[in-house]
Amino acid sequence: MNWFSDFFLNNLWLVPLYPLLAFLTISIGRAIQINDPQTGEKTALLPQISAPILTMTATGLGLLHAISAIQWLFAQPHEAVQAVERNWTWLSAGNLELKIGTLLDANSVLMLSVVTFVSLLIQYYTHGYMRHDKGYAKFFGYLALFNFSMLGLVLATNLPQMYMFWELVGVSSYLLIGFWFHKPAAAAASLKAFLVNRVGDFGFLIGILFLLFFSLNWWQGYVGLHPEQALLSFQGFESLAGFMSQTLPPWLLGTIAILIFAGPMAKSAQFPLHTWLPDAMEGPTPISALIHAATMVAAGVYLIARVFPIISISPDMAMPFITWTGVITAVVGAIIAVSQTDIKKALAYSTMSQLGFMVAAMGLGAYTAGLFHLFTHAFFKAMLFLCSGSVIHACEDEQDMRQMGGLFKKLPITGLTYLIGTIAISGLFWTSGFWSKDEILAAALHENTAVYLILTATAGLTAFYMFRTFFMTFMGDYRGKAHVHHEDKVMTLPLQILAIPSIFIGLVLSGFVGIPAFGDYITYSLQNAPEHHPHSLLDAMFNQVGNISQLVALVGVGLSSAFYYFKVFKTDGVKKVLAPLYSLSQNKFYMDDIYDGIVEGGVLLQSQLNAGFDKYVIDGLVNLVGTVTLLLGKLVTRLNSGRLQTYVATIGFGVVGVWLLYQWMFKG
Amino acid sequence: MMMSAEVAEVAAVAGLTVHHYLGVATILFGLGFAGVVSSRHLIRTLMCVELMLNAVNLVFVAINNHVNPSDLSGQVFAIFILTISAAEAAVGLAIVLALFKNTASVDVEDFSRLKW
Repeated sequence: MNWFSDFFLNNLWLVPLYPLLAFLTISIGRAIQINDPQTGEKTALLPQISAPILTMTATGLGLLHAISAIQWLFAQPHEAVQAVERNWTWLSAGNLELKIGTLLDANSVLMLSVVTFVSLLIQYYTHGYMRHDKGYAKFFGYLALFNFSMLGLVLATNLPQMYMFWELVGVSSYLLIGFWFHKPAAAAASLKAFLVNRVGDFGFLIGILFLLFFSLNWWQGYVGLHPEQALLSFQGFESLAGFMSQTLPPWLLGTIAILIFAGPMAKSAQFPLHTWLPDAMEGPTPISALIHAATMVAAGVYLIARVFPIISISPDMAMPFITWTGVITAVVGAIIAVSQTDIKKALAYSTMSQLGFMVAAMGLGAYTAGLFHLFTHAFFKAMLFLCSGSVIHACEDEQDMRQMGGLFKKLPITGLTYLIGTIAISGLFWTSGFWSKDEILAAALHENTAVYLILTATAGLTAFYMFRTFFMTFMGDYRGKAHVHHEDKVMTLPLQILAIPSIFIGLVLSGFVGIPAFGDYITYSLQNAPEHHPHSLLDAMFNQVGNISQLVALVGVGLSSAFYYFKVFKTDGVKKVLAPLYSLSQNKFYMDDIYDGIVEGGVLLQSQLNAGFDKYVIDGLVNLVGTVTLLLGKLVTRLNSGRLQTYVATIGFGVVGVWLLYQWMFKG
Repeated sequence: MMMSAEVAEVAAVAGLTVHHYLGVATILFGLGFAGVVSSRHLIRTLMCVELMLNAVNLVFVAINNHVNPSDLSGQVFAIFILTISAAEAAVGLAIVLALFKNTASVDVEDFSRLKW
């Protein structure tokens, strides 16, 4: 290693700082108005084109850091990797000191490379997608803000720091979903995303406080870590888990773990807090690709990986809870995705379903498999969303797949990359999705047969609905009215680049091609963890699981093509046969209606009661005080004769009277 | 000029105690008060107020001589009160003059409009 990569490796704190600077420069530079010397008109201090340049430079520098971090990781054998933690004091109150810093280990290298790489491509794509939008520069400013928050989250050394950046990604997500806030749907969607995340984050915060409460003394008396180690540092969680499992009752451990899991539940769109994610598709498509498919929603899985020691000490309570939440999410997402006609909504439910796979893997203890799926999914799902953006752009903002069809001829690159993404997410032909999904399925087979069966069926369903979107969009005849434009080269380049990892990254990191396997570096091994899987165990089961899942996926593809390409079967007949399931899917399992009911029946009723109390009791008391004062005043006004002598006499005799009273009371 | 201590000595020789001074001051104050309450002429009211103020001055000086004759703070207070009362009389007379110009009356009974 030379000094160059040493610099990038040793100064990881710069990584979140670049986009922050870009964000501040763009926001301030665009806000200051100056007079143009040539035309005399008022213009912003910073020209519009500087916004993408600044943002992409910031992300590019972050990517350089990520590359040197990858070099650092692979330069050493996986047994010898020592995490590097650096901390600075953030705030201190009494003997409680919170720190902020950068943690360099296999997990953060993984996320760092995904976030910077995908971000950079999507920012380039954004230049094509948003070129004609009024808020072009502002959009790049927000993108930089998001990158700052996300990279701070990825590099977080401790739970409080992660929480802070966790909230920051929520804010940037809110800003970007509501970017076209003049559309009522977008404004409502951003609010919904924010509020639903609030529910989860509240649980998360309580979980952090619980954890801190039960372990504060332990942290302050702990000597096994570096003295600079932060409070609630992820590095100390393994030892902390050992301490906690000996001192706390199992129900409390489970409660703490589930409370912390509430954060990922909202952020990673787990059932029943998933309702914000499909609505978030109101945001511009690059945002859907970057935040609501590849990076931010995966942050929940990343958090579970970070606090995994705390979760793994509750094998009877927290882990099954997480597993089944993930499984339900995967199934519900896949079922809803089948009936969606909006291309972005279908992809959103597919994202939700895949996140369910990852979370279920985490709950099963298949730590490596969950993170591996996060990693591969980021590439192909970002690509799929970007493809949908390219389609929407070409069809003049049409998102309904019933108004598309036959677009392969007009949009060959988009169509081809979309097909690659579809194959990858279906887990066919040893593309990247195959490796990661089958690792999850193998873990499920080892742990829990019911979960395995459900997830395998869901994988088949995934192939079905993904090929359905492909056939409806790109095959058959064009059904829409809009004039289809040609592809934009700025937008197809990121698609082509993303297609490469979508196909090969799974194979490359599977351990079969000479490069160290993904799981060699990213493993979690706690001695007493009951759900611990050595990676080789998964490999041993691979052939069997892989063949079954490919077969199931092929059945899904076959059915899908029979319905939507060859039109052997009519969808109407099936809709009638499966009427209850179909209406369940069409109505998104009525979750939005249930929440509406809860809000209307519970919250609104309660607030009406409160309003009545306020109106009649509180206001009544206030008005009573006012009325009594007024009445008393009216009584006394009669004494106000306007005659000076009367006043003076009253004062004089009053003084004498008071004096006499005093004499009588205290002297007599 | 006699010092305040000498005044006290002379007064003592004459058989005057602080009670005499206070008695005179009380009578003065009472007369002034009675005048303020009973008179209808504004000028007379003002004069009665002066009488009350002078009663207070007398009390200040008498108490000062009785309690601590070497200290002159009571006298100083009296001087201040005289100054203030001079200013007050000037302002009061100006108001009475203005009232008289507007209403051709100095009767207190005529100025009772400020009521409910």
